[in-house]
Amino acid sequence: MIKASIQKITYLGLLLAIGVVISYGESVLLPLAFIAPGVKLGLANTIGLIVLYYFGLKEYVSIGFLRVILTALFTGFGFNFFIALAGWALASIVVIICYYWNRLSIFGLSMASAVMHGVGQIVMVAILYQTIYIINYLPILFFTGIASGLLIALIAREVVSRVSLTTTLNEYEK
Amino acid sequence: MNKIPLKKTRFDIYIFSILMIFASLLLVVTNVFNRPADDLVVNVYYEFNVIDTHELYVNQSFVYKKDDYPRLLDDITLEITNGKVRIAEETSPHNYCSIQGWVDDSGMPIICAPNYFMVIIEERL
Repeated sequence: MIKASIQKITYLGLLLAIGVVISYGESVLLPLAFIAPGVKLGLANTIGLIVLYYFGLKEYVSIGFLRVILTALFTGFGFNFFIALAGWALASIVVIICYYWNRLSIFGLSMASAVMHGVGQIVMVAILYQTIYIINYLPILFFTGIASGLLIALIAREVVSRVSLTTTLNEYEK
Repeated sequence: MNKIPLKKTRFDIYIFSILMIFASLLLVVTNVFNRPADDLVVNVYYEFNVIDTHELYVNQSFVYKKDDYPRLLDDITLEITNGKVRIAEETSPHNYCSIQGWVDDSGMPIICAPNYFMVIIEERL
């Protein structure tokens, strides 16, 4: 029991670290700001989906929150942090609802999450700058969110169908 | 714990369709309700407040000095030409706002987050 808990914490810690590195690496190596500000693939969300698949909702929300906090340690707790936090919060709420609804696959969850992440960010910018005009930018985030959500789900599906964490755990115990 | 299905379900198609329809409607609505082009200005925000408003159809450039706006990482050069606006020079870790280039759509922001600086084409108040 204790061994299982330690293994679980170890896996979650590793996945969190990978998520932070992917998140930071993507912002450096894959800047998509020439399309529109805030547009990114969100490759780190692959880790979120993997955590959701293997460990469940509580871990998904916790890892997502910790990733936002740890990424902010690199980029600072300023404007970026509040935007990321708002995106994470709205996306998590939608994922929680969809998870309990239990009708969507990894693709539907990922799409809804990616789109709502963008909506959360825009709402936060609109609140901070007190400008409603920025909602003109929402359709772009919807379309890019749908596309990136599908891509992220595809990557996450390939990972979870090829890597079995339980098998790895059993091999470790031997 | 209910594991999420890995294969597409029909509800995924519904969600996809709803999102696409909503995004398309939003696109139409935001374009229909956009004011005529001559009623637009460039608003410059610093620390979440409007600090400047510039004419969109007057070719001009402005330098915002770090000395005047201490949260800037360095001076920022704003350029307005033929109804388009861009951040010509700035200092930030990834230079997202200068990479973004020219913007002529109202509502499309140029956000220099680490500088607490944003430029957006908006209707004249």
